[in-house]
Amino acid sequence: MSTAINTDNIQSQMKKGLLEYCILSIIGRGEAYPSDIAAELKEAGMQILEGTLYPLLTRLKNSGYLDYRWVESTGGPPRKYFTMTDSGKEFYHQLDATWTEISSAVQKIIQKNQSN
Amino acid sequence: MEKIIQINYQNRNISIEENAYTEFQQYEEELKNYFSKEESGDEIMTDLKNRMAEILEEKLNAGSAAITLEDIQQLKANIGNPSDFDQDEHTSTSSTNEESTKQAPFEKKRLFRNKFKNERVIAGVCSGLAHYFSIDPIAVRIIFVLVTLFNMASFFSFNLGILTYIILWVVLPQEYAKNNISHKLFRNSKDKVVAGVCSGLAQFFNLETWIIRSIFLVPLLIHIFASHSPFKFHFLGTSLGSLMFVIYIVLWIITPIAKSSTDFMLLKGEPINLSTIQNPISMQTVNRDAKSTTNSFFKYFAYLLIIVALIVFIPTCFGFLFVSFLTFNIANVILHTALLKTLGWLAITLIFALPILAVLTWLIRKLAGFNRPSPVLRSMFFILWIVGIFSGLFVAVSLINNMKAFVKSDKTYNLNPTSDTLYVKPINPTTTTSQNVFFDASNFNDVINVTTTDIDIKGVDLRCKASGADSAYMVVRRYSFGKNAEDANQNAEVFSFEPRIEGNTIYLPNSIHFPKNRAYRGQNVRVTIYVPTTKTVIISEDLKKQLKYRFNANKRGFYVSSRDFDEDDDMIHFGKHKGFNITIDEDDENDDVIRMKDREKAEIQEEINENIQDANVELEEAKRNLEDSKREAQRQIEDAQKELDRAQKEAQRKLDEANRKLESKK
Repeated sequence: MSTAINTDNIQSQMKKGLLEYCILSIIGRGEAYPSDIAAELKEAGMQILEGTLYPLLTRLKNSGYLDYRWVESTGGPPRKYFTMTDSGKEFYHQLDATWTEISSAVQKIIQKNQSN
Repeated sequence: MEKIIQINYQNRNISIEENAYTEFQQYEEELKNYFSKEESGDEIMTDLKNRMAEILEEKLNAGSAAITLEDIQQLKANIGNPSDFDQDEHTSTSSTNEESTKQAPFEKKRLFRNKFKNERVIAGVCSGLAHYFSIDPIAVRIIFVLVTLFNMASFFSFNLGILTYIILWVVLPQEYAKNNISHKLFRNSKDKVVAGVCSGLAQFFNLETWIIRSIFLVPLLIHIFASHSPFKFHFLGTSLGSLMFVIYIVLWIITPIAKSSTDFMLLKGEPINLSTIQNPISMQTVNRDAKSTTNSFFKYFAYLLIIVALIVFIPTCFGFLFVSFLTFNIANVILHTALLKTLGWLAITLIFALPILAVLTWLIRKLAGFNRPSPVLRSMFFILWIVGIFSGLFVAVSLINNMKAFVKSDKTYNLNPTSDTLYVKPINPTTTTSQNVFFDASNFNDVINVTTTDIDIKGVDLRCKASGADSAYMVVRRYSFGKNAEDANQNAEVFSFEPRIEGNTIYLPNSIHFPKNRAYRGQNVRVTIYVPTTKTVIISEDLKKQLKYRFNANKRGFYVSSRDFDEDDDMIHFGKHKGFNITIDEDDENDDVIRMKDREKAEIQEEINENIQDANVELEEAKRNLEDSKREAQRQIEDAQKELDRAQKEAQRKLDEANRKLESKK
């Protein structure tokens, strides 16, 4: 399994690695409701199942990067909204730096390819 | 149109179609099962439940009357299936989890009992096995039931099917099955000849339709063909043909017809119905975990009662049905009017065959996953059964009325035997023995023989008694039942039984003979032959074979069995009765002989023997004397011969001397 390289695997690995970065990025803008996060990701072209999103959020919350609060909703029970903690912000900045680094590196390599 | 139920889910009121709710519950259980492995699984689950409730509510707020199966499918597409999470999880968390990813396929192959309530019948053993082997649970259930029934039929001391089930029940862990493929049998409306049962079965088992059709049709054709041919296998054809017919009818009754495209997908077991409705669940079952423990005890107790009832009741019904059809001829002769015949057979069929059919229907419905009781079927079976009971009662009462009185009438024939031996022979010397392929039913059917115009009944019983006098005679006693004495007397005279007496031989008919328009009312004939003790009666083997009680016969003959002779009737008791010496001639192949000999006879024989011996001695002496005198005579003859010789020689000498004298004188 570790030796086999197939497109599906690499694609989902790339996606999965960036998923947490994207989610943190969205929540970093302000309080977010999971289904809104899913909707935004979907809109941007990053497909995610809500069944995968919730465990991910819970894990980030347990690691101390996220917090949540209950927000009253109209005609239903309160909804769980996620916010970023200070350590979450720090973590996000690390990821952000890494991403900028990687993406510019990748960009440079790809540009050379394209100019040839 | 599906039934709509109201549920309260995560504090939201949701109207949902029943089948959609079943689907939803199953999905929820799958999720719960999946996230239970996760660290903070409960929290994730609560979040997801809230979210799902929200989605459903939004759907209703958007104008839907109720949540449909399609809505649930859509919800599942949004949230995702646990199998999809699996893939995501393990690829995201890279190297550390790779080993467990590797093991995932093996984990799926574990044997367990299925925990899903709506996928199991008793304890989920069959369903679990089916998942393990990736086959249809119904197939496993049918195999279990067949093994159990065959075991029951062969009367082993333990039951392999039940034992295996209980062991698996105890040993296997309980788990929620993943990737349930459920399958439901429908009748195929698109491709049908009679009711679409065959093509439905074919789709269900993924076979060609013509194979299933021939399985049903061939035994039936054999039945039709064989009943008009001299071949002996019609019994096989008949039973198999009618069995397949019954199965077809049962399937016709219990199986719904496939109409919608979902039905057809269910029929083929296509993956759209990952978790379909097998068990309609009502609102109360939301809190089922609390209730089910107390309920299940009563449920299993009820199952136990039902199984015991089946073991006792069903074979009894089979037995009665079997005997009824074996005695078909007799029953038809007793039930004399068309009304009684119809009602009688209706009663037998309804009383005994209906419970078998009902149990079969129940079993098949249960196996096929129809857990909803069918009040229509139930009341239909019940009403028909009551109809059967009432027709049975009617027939019984009218028969009792027709057999109230009992009469017997005697007719005496004088026998004037010219010798010491009397022979009893059948009028018609040929014995007909019908050979059945599977078992010997001749005991039932030989008793009665119905031709197009007449009925022969082997109601003849033959006995011998000591007459106590020098005369020999025969009494023919006729018995009969009837409505009243007059009717009974008429019944006693209506049949013919004419013995013929020729010298020392009595010819007896082996049966009593009726015109066909008369009903049989227990008519019977007893022939008793009274002979002096000095006579010997020989009953021919032919007759013995033909008579009614032949199957009670022992080696010594039926007519001396204890059944026919009793002490106070001064009957001949075997070896006990004074003055008689009954012997069976073992060497004689054809006749069993009873000789009634006087002791004197033996004495005379002895005397004669002595006389013969004396005579022989005398004869011997005479012979010796004769020999002696013969020898004496021989000696005398020889002496005389010698004398004669001597005299001749003397005479010759004298003659010679005289001649010489004459010569010299000359």
